[in-house]
Amino acid sequence: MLISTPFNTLYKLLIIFCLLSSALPGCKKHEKVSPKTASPGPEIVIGLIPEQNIFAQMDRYQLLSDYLSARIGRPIRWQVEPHYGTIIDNFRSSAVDGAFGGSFSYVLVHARTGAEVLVRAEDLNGVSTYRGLIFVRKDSGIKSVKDMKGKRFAFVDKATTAGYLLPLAYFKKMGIENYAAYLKEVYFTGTHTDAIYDVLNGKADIGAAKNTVLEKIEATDSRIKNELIVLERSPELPESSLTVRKDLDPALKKKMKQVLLDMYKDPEGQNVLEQFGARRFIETTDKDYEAVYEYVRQLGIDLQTFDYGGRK
Amino acid sequence: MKKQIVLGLTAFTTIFFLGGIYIVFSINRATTTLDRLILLHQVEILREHLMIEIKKVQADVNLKNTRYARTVHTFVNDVQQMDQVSLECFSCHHTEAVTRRLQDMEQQIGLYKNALSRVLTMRGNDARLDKEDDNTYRVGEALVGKVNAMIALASSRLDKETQSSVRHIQHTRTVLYMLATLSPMLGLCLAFIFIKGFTRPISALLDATRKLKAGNLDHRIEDLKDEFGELAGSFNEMAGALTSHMKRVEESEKRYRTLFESAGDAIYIIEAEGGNAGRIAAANRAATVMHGYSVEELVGMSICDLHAQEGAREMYDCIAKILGGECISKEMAHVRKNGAVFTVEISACMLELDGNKYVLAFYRDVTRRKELEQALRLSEQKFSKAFRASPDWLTITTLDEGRYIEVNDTFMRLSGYSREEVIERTSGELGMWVDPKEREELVHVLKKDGAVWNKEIHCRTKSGDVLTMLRSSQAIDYGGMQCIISVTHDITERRKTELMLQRAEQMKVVAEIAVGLAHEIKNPLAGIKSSMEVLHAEGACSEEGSEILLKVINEIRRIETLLKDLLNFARPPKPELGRVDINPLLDATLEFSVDKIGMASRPEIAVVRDFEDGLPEVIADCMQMKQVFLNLFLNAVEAMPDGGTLKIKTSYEKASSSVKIEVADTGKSISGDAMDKIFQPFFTTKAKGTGMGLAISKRLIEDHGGTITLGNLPDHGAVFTIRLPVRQYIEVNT
Repeated sequence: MLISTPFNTLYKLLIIFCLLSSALPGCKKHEKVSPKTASPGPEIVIGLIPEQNIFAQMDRYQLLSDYLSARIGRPIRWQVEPHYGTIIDNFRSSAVDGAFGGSFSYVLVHARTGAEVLVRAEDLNGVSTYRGLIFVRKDSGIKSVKDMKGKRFAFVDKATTAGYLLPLAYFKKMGIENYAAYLKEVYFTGTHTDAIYDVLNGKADIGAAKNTVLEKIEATDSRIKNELIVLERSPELPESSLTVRKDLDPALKKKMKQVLLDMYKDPEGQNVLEQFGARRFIETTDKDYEAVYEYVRQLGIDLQTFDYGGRK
Repeated sequence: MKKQIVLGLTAFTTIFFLGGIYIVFSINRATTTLDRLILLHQVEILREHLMIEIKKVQADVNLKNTRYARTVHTFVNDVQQMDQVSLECFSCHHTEAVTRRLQDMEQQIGLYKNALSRVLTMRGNDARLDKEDDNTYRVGEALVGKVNAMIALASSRLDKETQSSVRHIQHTRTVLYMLATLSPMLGLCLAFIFIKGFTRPISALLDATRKLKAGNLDHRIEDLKDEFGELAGSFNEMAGALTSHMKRVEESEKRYRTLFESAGDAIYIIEAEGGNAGRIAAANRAATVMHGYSVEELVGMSICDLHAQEGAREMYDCIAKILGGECISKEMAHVRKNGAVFTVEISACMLELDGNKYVLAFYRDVTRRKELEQALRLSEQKFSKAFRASPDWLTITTLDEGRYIEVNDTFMRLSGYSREEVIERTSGELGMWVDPKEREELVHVLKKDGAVWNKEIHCRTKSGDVLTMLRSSQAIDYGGMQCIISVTHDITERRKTELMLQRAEQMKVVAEIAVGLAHEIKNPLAGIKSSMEVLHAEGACSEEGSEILLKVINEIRRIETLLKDLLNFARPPKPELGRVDINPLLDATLEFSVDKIGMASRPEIAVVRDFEDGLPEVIADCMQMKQVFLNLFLNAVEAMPDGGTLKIKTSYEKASSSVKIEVADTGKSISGDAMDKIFQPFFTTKAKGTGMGLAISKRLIEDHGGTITLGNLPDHGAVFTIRLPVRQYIEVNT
């Protein structure tokens, strides 16, 4: 009996040991980001316009790409570009298979490469259009174009509607032929967000951006509402849409379109849409961009030769 | 003791358990600590990593306008990497402070990213662009600063923790080493204590059992506790019980040995089985005395060595019977050492000892008893003979009822009953008591005095005769019953004789008186007679008177004859004795009776003479004999009024050495009453008889020393038997 006692306790020890070891508080290993589904096939590269902070864009579109990739069975790689124009360049050089682009971007790309538009997002309120805005700080005292003389204007990008075409049209409408001379400084912020914040922070006096972005920022930052005032609003323009290059595999095009269109039907898709900030994707055709074409005509821009500020 | 064991085991278990737990915990703590250290290292690394990334991005920013500018993609990648790394920070738990710092850092990263984005996307004049660059750079630096701070924090913490962990581990190690060395020692100590605690009592117990085995029953265990104490107590009790049991056994053994040795009978234990059957295994003192051998000599002998007659074979048969379960009991002859043969009574049966079968035999010397028995038997016989043959009637009856238990031969003879007829019946039933009151009186006196002496009783025999007896009885206890042993003496004859003698005396007295009277009367009577005769002769009276006088004179003559006879009887003349030949005398008497008495006138009476020749002479008075015979002849004749035979027989009776004369007639038989009285004086059956004849005859014969008896003949008639002794000289009865 005296021999078996240690064994007894040994067993007890073992049991306790096991229990304890399992309860050891440990740092959970940083869970890997959900692995991309190993989808076979060459990856599809889709470009992203720098509508907002380019890093935020990446996050925003990540889930969507996962979903889409899984559905179409091809890996998708986002490529966010610092400039709208870069995307057009990419289209031209077939560096991308598609892109989520702005309206003017689309028009350009369509004109230059014949890229097809597939779908565009409908936001949570069912709105799939946006307006361009020209805004100033309330306390800047700028009420009309007259006040804008010698001020600093923050555009977004040459290849944007709201952030370029619109102000141009505005100035033309207001009778200012050479805005660049009229204004003290003109620069391109690159993103709509920055345009807004620059005006807000006094880095520029006047700014032009999409209303959707403004509204988005407005939701989190009350200063927008309090300190900015909108001077001009454009007519409705279609939202950013997915455009694919002309010679992309038709079946793939069709599939992608279909998947996106049907996304709102299944729960996972709904989840992704919600996170994306859209209700659903709707079909988009060239005709939807009539307003843009109008601007182009108005401004006498030649799409083929327009310098959209591509790679420097 | 159980408690101790439990305690000990619990102690061991607890020690090991605690030790184990301690080990586990310390390992746990060590590993946790190390884990933490690793974590902290990881954190440090991570933060360094982050730093690197941030620096990379910064570098990108710096290089943006230079020849070594990175592509946007690289930029973006780097930023993304930085993002990732920063995200990793958040995957761990942190304290609040740290979390706030991290959040702060994240904010900073956000700002940085914003700035970076601006830098990348903006197109404008250089001034603006530069400003933006600067701003971005500054933001970046601020971020770097923040991260640095965090790194520093981590580092310092890491340092501290490393130190403490190391210390802790050292400490733990020391403790473990200590435990590792102490525990076994402790264990050994405890084990030692316990073993000691067990072995001591156990060795005490062992020792005690050894002592017990060796035979020391007085050893007791002391000073043990708890269960061992109980065990010791039980052991002690057991030893005590064993001791008392041994004592009892010893006592019993002693008792039996005493019984064995002190028994009066010889006791032998004899082997019953195997080749040694019959061999004496044990003998007691009485046996040695009885047979004359010593115990040593006896043990080893065969029992049949002591037998006087029976041999081995009979012995084996006996033993076989005993083994079969029989108990034998018999007598046989044994022989002592000195050769003397004596009788023993054996009781033998089987005895089983230790699984072996023996014969247990008891021998009793019965020589003396036999002798006593013999003596008793002889005594018994004597008594029995005495009882049986006693001339008196002996009986043993029950006191209360008079039931016959034993009667002797005389009883049977006198009473006429056989033994079977009377045993178990009462005297009353049998009608033996003439007057039952006599028995009552007997019993009464017996009960009062215990004995009765010579009480006169009257018994009736089977044939109806009454016997006069003198009874002497003693109350005895016979076979548990109250009985009477009685000696009854038949005095009927004596009584009769007494009566007779009494009568004779009476007679004699009466005779004397009568003689006296007769003498006295004779003279006046003679006077009267002569006077009468004168008167008659004178004719003084008339015819009538003369007749009357004649009658008177006849009557007087008659009286005279009577007186003469009486005188004859009373005082008979002395016999003149001479040698007399009976036969001629009888002849002569016959002639005379024929002549004188008128037997001649009675021709129908035949006379038969049966005289034995050569009869010896008797000494007698001739005349008296004649008188007797004459009397007898006359009686015989008178008894045969219708004729008959008169038979006279003489013979010599050797047995009584006397001459027997029988005078028989064939007349009437004489009745029983008459028989008794016929020889009495004044007894007569004749109308005109005096009744003296036979009395005188009897007297005369008896004076001669002879006897006369009367008996009835089987067919009609009586016979007088006279016996006259033939002697040299005669005794004269006076």
